[in-house]
Amino acid sequence: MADIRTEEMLMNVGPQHPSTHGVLRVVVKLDGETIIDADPVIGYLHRGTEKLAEDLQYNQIIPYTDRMDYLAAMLNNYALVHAVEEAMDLEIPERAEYLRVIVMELNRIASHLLFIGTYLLDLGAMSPFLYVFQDRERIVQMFNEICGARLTYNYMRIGGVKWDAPPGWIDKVKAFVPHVRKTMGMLDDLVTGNEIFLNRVKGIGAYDADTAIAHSLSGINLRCTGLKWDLRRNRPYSIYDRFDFDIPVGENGDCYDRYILHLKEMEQSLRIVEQACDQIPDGPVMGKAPKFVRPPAGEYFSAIEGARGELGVYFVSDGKDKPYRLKFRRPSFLNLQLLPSLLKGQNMANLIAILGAVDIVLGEVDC
Amino acid sequence: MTEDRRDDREAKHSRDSGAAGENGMVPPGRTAGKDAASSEAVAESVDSPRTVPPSAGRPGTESSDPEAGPAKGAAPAAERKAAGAARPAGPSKTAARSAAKKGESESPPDPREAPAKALLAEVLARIQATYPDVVEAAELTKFIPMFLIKRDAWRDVAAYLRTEEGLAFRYLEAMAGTDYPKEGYIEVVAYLTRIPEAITVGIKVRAPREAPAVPSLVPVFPGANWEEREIYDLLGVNFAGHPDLRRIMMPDDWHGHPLRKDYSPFD
Amino acid sequence: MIAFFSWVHQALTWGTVLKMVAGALIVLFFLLGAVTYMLYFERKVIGWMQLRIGPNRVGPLGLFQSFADILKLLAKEDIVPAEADKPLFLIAPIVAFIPSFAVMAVIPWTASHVFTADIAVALLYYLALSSITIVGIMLGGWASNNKYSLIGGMRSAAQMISYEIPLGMSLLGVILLAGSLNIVDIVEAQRRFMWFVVPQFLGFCVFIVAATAELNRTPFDLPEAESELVAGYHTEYSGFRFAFYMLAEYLYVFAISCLGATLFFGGWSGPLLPGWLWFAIKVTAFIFFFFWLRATMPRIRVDQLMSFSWKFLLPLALVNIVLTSIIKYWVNAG
Repeated sequence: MADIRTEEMLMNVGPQHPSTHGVLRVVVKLDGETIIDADPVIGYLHRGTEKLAEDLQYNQIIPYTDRMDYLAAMLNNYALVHAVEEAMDLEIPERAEYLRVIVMELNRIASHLLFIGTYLLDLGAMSPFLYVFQDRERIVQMFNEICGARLTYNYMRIGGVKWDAPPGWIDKVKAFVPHVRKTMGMLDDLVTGNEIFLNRVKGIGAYDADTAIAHSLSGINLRCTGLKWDLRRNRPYSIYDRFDFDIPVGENGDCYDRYILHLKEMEQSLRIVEQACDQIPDGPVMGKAPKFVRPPAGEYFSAIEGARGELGVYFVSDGKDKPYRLKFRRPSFLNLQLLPSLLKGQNMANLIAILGAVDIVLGEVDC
Repeated sequence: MTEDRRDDREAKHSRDSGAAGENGMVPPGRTAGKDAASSEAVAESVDSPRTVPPSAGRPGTESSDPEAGPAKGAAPAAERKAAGAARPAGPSKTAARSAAKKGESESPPDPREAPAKALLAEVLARIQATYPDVVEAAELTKFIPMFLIKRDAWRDVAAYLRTEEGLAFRYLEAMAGTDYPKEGYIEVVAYLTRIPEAITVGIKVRAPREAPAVPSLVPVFPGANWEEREIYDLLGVNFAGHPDLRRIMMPDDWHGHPLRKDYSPFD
Repeated sequence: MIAFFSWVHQALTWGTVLKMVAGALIVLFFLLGAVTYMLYFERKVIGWMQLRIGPNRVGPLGLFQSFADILKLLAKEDIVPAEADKPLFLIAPIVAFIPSFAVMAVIPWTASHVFTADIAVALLYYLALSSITIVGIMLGGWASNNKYSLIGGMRSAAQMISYEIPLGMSLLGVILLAGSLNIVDIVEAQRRFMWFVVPQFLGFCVFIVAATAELNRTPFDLPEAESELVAGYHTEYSGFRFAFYMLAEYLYVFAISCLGATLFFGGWSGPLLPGWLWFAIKVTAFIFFFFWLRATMPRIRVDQLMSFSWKFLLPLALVNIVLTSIIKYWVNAG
């Protein structure tokens, strides 16, 4: 039996595949159902945002950032305006900062909810996907009320935000918070203890903190190894130093930790939203920003904690109203790098579990 | 991106059968086209009537403007050099403007400035102690120390910053490439961070536009893999020693490097 | 009416053959209707469990939705991939589909054996025929010449063969208690004694798990694991060939539910209500259970699936057989 000739099989998972979350393509080499090599191929959604940005004024780039991580567009908005504001030392009105924090954290919750839904859908559990959509829908509705869009918000501006919250909006957000807690409790009851689920994610795709750091992972992909690295805490920006919240970390760096951290982080985001809703002052929402934004010549780098990890913006200004060069440090793009080494030697079925837990958004990977 | 290009790409399973344009650089003649300067000139004329100051509000932090004179760090000579060299394109107007601005509002420095200067001095001293003459310039880019490293020593310095006791910048936060056609070079910048203190330094390196080649950082920082592939793809910088230097965003058979300033689509 | 269809013990004449054909046709159309409304029932039940409404557009309450779907499937183009093994590709759905109808021949709908082949080896017949479907599924996976289909087909074969064994073993306990392979006899034995789910609880547990796996339903729906294998063995099928696979799958859900209700819950027997209604209630409860599982469970992983069958389910079934034999021996001796 030993000399039976076996052949490796090359299989294209994607770009059209139910579980690659968009247009990722992973070329896997299979021996039976064991993966012996995997090569992620990206670029199917590359729109050249960075090149386009070189011909746009800074405020005109904001809608383009919506289209990067389209599940957390508020955070993308903020990454850009924050970088420019830092470069220009602009002062942002208090109310605008609070509104920004509220929408960013709500967006983070929406994004994490969707992660949990799609991840469980990948693992074959259908119902949680529809449960999370209920809550996400409410968040999206609230965004619709505040900025008139459900997905691509284009809400923030350099110097503040475009619209003030409509009357009663803050109360609506406050009332919404316990609702999410209920959903999270239900998800926890339904899924977290499920034996089949645990068998599929515990100990799968594990790596340690050194590997994560060496591969420039960020966000939950880094924190699942036990490393407390959250830019909201480690390099505070905006008004995050005013809120009381924890940085949950994992222990084993496996898919289970990554899943459970999403749940825990939602709880922390809810806490921030609650505090921000309580503290928010009245006042203007737009600061004294020049109509044509011209950061002083030089190069700037700043980063925020996006929904998927560290979302950095590097730009070079030549003193004009358009960036000379704009580069986004996209967390999904860098987090995806580790995928081939995680997949090697795994069963084909684990591909989905591992890929899903990396939590990528292809709009961001390809930029 | 057209459909047939997609198909081409799809058909290529194993991309190791290196396409002709894959490893070589783009011939300079190919990207001939409109000069970036012309479009810049248009932009200039559009916004010239405006007299909006480059930064408004917050008088307290005005002096943190990196243009506002050389920092009083440990290596003033290098500083001064950087002030001229590291700037991208003719900043004379803005510089003059911010100088004028500085004159009217002299204010206490940003609290972040002093530690940044100290870090700049410390790291610079340590690099120079181990690798003399590799730092071509050192300056503060908005509270982040930035060192211009000689090309030959690029990887060594990165490895030194990563492994050296007391420095330990183990986290490659970001990499980016920028094309400077007027100056004739392409610049690659890398931001290294010490975790969990969140202290960041930047290093950069320059390579001539015609045949840009830079030692790869992948042996030091595995996380540089895709970043370098992206820079290779979009700017055409050859990273020597990269284990898997292929296009990553554009299709394999794409011509040219789109993020170059003089790029024009190939027909 | 009942006398007309009670051909089982009549002499084989042309008249009897005609009655048989008529009876088979009636069962066929009844089953088609049943499956159609099972689909509707599944979508409604899962819809409610997932806070949705489910189909509600075609007809009152969406009652004609399944008919519309089936008509759509029948009207669709029958695509055969260029690189497929054409004869096999065309024949595979039929191979999978025919046994699913054939097994219905031994299900006793009511006490009076209407339409039922009252054969002595009914259980064996069921198990033997239902394994032919695996051939159809594997052929389909192979003939499609698609890697997802191939892996899906392979998985199906491995899974269904693995779970056929504990399924058969779990039934052995019932057979031991009843002393017969004839399903009608088994029901009669339960009427005299008690529902076999009580003395055969262990066997029932093995049965329900193995049956779920045998049906390729969640949490054992790996062969068509959408998130991994797109659609598994029927990735390349469309139109009425796809409908054949779907029909076969749902018919087996129905058949296994019938089998479970008959072997463990007394079949048509029950107080007050007529036999067919009791039977319908029990079968519906089984079907509901499978749908409920689907809305609740994630999917098990393929290697865990195999080891679960061989290392856990099979020993459990064996233990059940040994225990049943010992108890029966004691009871008979005492």
